[in-house]
Amino acid sequence: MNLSASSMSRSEASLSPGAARRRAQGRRRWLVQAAVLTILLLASVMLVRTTQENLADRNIRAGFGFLGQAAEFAIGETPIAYSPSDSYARAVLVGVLNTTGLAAVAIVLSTLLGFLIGFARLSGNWVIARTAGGYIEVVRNLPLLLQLFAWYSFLLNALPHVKRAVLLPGGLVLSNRGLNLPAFAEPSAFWLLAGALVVAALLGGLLARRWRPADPRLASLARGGWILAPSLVLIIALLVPLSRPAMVAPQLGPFNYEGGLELSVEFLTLVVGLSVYTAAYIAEIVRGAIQSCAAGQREAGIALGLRPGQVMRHVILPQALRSIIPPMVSWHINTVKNTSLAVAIGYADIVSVVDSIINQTGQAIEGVLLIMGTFLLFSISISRLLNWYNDRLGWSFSATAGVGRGSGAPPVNLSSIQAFAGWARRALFGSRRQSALSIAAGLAWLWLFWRVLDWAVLQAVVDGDAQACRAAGGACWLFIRENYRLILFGTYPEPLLWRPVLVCGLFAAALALSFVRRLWGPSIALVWLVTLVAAPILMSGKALGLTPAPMGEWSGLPVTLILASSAVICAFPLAVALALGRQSQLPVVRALSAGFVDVMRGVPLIGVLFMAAVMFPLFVPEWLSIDSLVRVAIALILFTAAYMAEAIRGGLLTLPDGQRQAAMALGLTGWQSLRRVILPQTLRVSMPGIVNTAISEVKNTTLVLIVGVFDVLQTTRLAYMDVEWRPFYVEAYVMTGTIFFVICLSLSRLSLRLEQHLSHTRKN
Amino acid sequence: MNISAKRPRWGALLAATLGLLASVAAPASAAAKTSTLQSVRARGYVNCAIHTGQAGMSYLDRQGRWRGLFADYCRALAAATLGDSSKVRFLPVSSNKRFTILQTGEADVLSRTTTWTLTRDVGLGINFTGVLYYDGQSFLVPRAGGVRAVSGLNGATICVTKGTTAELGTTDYFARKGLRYRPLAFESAEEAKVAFFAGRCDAMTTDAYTLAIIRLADAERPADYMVLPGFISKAPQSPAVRSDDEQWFDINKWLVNTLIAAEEYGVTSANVDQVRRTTTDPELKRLLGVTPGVGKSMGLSEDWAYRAIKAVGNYGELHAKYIQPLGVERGMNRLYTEGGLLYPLPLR
Repeated sequence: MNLSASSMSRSEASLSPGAARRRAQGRRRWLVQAAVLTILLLASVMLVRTTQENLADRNIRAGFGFLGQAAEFAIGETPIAYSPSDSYARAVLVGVLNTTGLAAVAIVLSTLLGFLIGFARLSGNWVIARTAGGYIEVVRNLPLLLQLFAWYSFLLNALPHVKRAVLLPGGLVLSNRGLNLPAFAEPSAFWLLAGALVVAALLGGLLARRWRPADPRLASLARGGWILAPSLVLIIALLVPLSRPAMVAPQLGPFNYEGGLELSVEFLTLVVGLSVYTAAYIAEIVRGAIQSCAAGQREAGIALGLRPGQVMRHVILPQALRSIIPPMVSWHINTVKNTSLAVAIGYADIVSVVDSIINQTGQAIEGVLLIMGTFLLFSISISRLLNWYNDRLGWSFSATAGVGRGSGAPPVNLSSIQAFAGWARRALFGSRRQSALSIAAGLAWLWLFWRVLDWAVLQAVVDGDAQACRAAGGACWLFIRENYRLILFGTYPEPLLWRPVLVCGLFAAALALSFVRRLWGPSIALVWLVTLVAAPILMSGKALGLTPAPMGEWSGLPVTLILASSAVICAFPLAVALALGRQSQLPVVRALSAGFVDVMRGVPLIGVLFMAAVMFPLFVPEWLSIDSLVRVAIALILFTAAYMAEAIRGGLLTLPDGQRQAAMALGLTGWQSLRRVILPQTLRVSMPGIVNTAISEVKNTTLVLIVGVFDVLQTTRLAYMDVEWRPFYVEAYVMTGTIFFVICLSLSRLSLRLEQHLSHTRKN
Repeated sequence: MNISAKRPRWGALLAATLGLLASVAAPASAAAKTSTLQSVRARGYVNCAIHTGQAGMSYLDRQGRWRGLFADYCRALAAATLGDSSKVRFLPVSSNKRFTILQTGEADVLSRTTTWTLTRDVGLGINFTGVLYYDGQSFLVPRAGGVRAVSGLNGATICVTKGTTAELGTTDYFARKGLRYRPLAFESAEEAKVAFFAGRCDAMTTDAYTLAIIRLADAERPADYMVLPGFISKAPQSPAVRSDDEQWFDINKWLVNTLIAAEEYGVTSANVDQVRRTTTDPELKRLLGVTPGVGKSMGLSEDWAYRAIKAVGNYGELHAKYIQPLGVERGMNRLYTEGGLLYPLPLR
């Protein structure tokens, strides 16, 4: 790609202008594209032939014909009627509906929670703002899968057994099996209500838009129309089903609560986990957008005599929403993709259902295509909807919200006692309401701090045995002492443990060196490259003449580190190529790059990992067998490259065209201008984005456990699944969570430093 | 620099690429199949897919080594084919990925408690090599629940591991009896266990052996739980290989048989050297390679069975080493001479 583009521009620069040149150039372009297409065609022919052979060898018939056969497996949660005698197609439909429902609930809740936290972050009250800040920092720096597992363990253990379920007001029943709600006896009543709500919303919307009476009293009524009309229809809709005994409350049967609607604890886990995770990101978007509103807007609003709440509602929010909605919607698309982690929790989403089908029928290719297709459809329709909405409102967005940091409250000033007192007056005790808030929040924090101290230090058990741990009320650090080797290094042979320890040390050193500003540039790249090459060599030991340790025995932290760093480092050249390819003048190259990037970004990582784990072996001839760890690493690299390419493309777009023209005018060839002018500037600008991709990759590596790779999260789970240590899942997740937190936090600090460095050098 | 001088270079590049691709594509489709034994020998180790953690059958010991009946089967196979029981690469694999890993050739043998069924044997392109453990599906329930028979589970929530015969067996059984249940399917047995003991389910189902071990090893108070009597299905556990390699199938089939026969003849890892030197039994002579012929006909060295027995012991030894300590009765898994189902085929 690069080669062709550069040779072309070289001739452009050196030849005198004329029609012959243009014709030759056109011909060459055509030739390059034809070559690319031919290579692609040949490769796919080869692929199809190998796949056909492999399928024939394995007695698998390709095609979607199997969808009509009876599924024969039961599904726990089915929004529509389903029994094992129904077809695979219907099982898939159940999976899609479960995914849709989960995504819808998680999106609504994460939006609400995100706005709440975002406002709290901007609160003038120091305690509130800092609490929100801490929440964001912790949640964003832990892998989502780790959070989901921790939530699941927590809900399973903390909620009561079904026989001792908590009866909540309104007929709700909560146990560690889930939440049971009263429901309409007849589904028709539900649809009636839903229909009435839709009609009411449409009616209200129409009323608020079209009816603009001159009389101010009527006008206020019209403005309220969007509330009034729905409530009217709602009352009517409620009256219809309530006229007969249509609600069914859950009743305890011999085993479970029967009747009503049941939301399983797996569903609740996913809803809570996904909402809490995404809310942290939405909060940052909200905060950035509100802060980027000019301060004058707020002052003008106050000057007009509006109260702060009114300023927010009528002045700031309407403006901020423009920069909130696009990035927020892209997070909603992420939420849809993240529902795919349901497969790890035991909720029957589309991935989980297809997984069962692949396992029963061996139709791996069709299964992965079904997963990919479903999520692409979701991603594309949501982004289409956003575009349509934007066009309709005539908004033109720049996708980046404000990235200013800090909270609404001023930072602590400890320069003198007077200064501190002044700060406290403003940030803690500004008004009576604020004082009450500060005291309440402060007390809550004290209580929490005391509880944590009590648990982690005062009542903690460090010596003894598991029995002593169970008897004590505090943390069982003994569990960590006994199991840290298993958690960190898993199945790696014990006498050779110095090697993974050294590997982890190397990575720690590389990360530490990354903070040294003097090394920024080629030297730090070299450090990482050397670390990445050295790590697998040390782990396997073969090349060094040490006792060999096969890849199947690698597990724990080194695997996580190697996977994450190889994903980021190896994806980098590919990402540069893809970003340049997307800007290429050759339509074929452009389409291929864009297609690759968009498909990768449209599907969940788990789909790509499934492809590597169960589908890839069908694509390659038998003599070419690649270790599953390597396959997974390749999948991570391809996935990362797509996201990194977008970060780099963002950098390319910020480059003024004058740079390119100036390079050309200096007589540089295309390759020279790319290497000396365009890339250095682009990479500098996009470096923070690249480091952010690295953070999400460190977290993403945890997903490999779903396809059977023993990363550090999997070894953590193994450690506490042992009967002796089962109650101590909190300690396990605290330890592994801390590891991830430290890595991700240092990377995000690094990204911040890079940003500061960039803005500093730009100013000078 | 002129254009005409440059044009051929592009053509050449294109031609070279096409040529390269063609040469890559050709052997891919025309490559002669190497036998599994050949590729195992060339590689120097056996790729053996095992359970990710099942007491007695395949589990990690404190030194991080895979142990258990089915893990040691891999060692016996390595001893028989490569002469060294340590030449095994263990591939821990979840239930729902196990056939893929065998079908794709990533594993040479699937030595993981896998139930031998018609559809698997016929439909998945694999062959089962011989039963290493006879089992049947049952249910583990808390005693406090009061359920004493499978029929008492109407309306219960049942924890099951995805992609197991138990998942389908439960469906069939409840449909046949006209009973209802709520399945909760987990990716791995570990997760199902944790959920069951947390009270998320009323029962957990898999093979009775596994349940007996789970009760003993994973329940905080084993006395609070019981395995329901009777099987709702038969579950003979067998290693499996791909069906495209007759020789490899034979090696595995007769290896299973050899381990059982060795118990019948009283050959153990301790006395195998002595028996080999002193035996006059023609069948044992053939088996242990004193009389040559058997090994060669399978493409192995003549001492294949000797090495296997020497490395892991006979079936009875394996059972005593791994399964007896867990408090599980030998039951059906006794020799036919003692009223069990183990009946080694004649080694002639």
